[in-house]
Formats: sequence, structure tokens, C-alpha cells
Amino acid sequence: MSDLREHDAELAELFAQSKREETWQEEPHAAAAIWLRARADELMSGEIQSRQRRARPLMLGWLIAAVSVMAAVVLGLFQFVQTLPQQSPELQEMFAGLAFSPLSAALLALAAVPALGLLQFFWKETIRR
Amino acid sequence: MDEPAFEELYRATAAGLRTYLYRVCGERRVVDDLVQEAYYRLLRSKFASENHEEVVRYLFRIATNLLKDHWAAAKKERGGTVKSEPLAAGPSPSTRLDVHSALGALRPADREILWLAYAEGYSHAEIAGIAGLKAGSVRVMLFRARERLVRILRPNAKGESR
Repeated sequence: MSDLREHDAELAELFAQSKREETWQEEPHAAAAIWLRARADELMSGEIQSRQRRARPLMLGWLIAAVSVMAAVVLGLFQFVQTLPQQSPELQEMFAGLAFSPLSAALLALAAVPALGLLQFFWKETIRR
Repeated sequence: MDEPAFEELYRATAAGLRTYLYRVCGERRVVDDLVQEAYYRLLRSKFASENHEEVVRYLFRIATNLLKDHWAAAKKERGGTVKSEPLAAGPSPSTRLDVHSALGALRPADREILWLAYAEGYSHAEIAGIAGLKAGSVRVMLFRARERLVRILRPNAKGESR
């Protein structure tokens, strides 16, 4: 039985010789070009990150404003739907006929506003593009 | 790493990395792209080590991963198995040709670990780190790959595989 390790030295020599015999024509400025590309990308991604950092408070402001507006609209709708049947007896009868309480309508409004907001956002982000 | 250090590293390692990738994949055009990308990713990775050998191993690891990504993309593009190109013969009948064509008859994974072990002289643990394998698996894979290579190089040899 012959151990394959016997061939190790021979193989190592064959591979080393094969490696030595392989020659490559290097472009003279290949390393410099790679360095420049990496450096340029590094600077660019640094700039993008810094812009994103700078824009973060503004984005937060927009988010808070949007949430506040949405909350105001929801509360307004909630109050409007709640007081609507008291102002109009016909509407009160209609709600009773539909087995649909003013509270259900208010809750529906509560859910509808954020849902519409989300739908509009997705429409803007996907379909328009 | 500053620019002179990078240029020094490139000068010292580019030919070896090219030969490794060429022996494993056999496509010169692909090798050029992979070499550039490997050095670029090394720079972007901010891998910091005072140990030159460690940096080179990391570079080989990046290149190996890029090669695997290249094969995966090619396989996806062709919608089936990808057969690496047969390793083209060189101009002279030499050792280079023997090893090159013998490697060409092996699977890419075998070429990879054989080259790392015998041409680059890496240990099982180092090969495992570069190829993303377990050291134990490398030992077994290397044994089998070496067996297959010896059978190709010495087709008439008897009793060499256990």
C-alpha cells in the first residue's frame, strides 16, 4: 500500500514550477487605478452618508408633522361622525336601519385615514415609478 | 492601508492571485475582472492587519468568494449547471501544461484546494478559512483531490489509491 503523502513533495514541486512558469502582463497603473476607484467610492459614500445624517432631523420633522396632521384629521372625523346623528334625525334613522352604530362609523373613519395615507404612499413609491 | 502600501501589496501578490484564479476557473477575461474586484473589495473592507500573510489570506478569501459568485451568476444565467471552461493549453509542453491540463480534468473545488495547498502552501486551517469550509472537510477533500490528481498525472501507477 502506497501512501499518497509520498507524492506531496513531488506535487508541491510541480505546482511551484507551474506557478513560476505562469507569466502575466500587468498594466503599469493597475494598482493606482484600483486605489483611485476605491478612494472615489469611499469619498462618495462618505458624502452620501453625511447628507443622510444632515437630512435626518428634517425627515424627523416631516414625520412628526405628518403624524400630527393625520391625528388631527382622525380626531376631527371621529368627532364629526359622533355628532352627526344628533344633528340630523334622518341620519340617526339611517344608522339604525343599517344596524351600524355611530361608534362603528367613527372607528371606521379612524382606520380609514391611516389606511388611505398608506395607500397613497405605496402608490407614490411603486406605481408612479 | 495607504497608497504606497497597497501598491506594494499589489506588486507582491497580483501575479499569484491571478494564477490561482486562472488555474481554478480557466478564463483569463474573468480572472482580470475578479482580480480587480478582489483588490477593490479589500480596500473597501478596511481590513486592518499588520500581518502581511493574514492580509494575503483575506485577499484570497475575497477572490474565492467572488469566483463562487461568478459561477452562481453564470449558472443562473444559463439556467443549469455551469461547466468551467477547459483550461487552455500553454505554448510549450512543460510542467505548467501538465499541471494545468491535469487540473482541468478535476472539479473546480478540487482545483481550488489543491492549488491553495501545493502552490500557495497553506495549511488545512488556512484553506478552510479561504474556501469557507471546515478544516476537517478540507483534510478529506484534499486527500480525495490529491488522489484524483495523482491518478491523472500517473495513469499507469498501481496501488496509489489505498
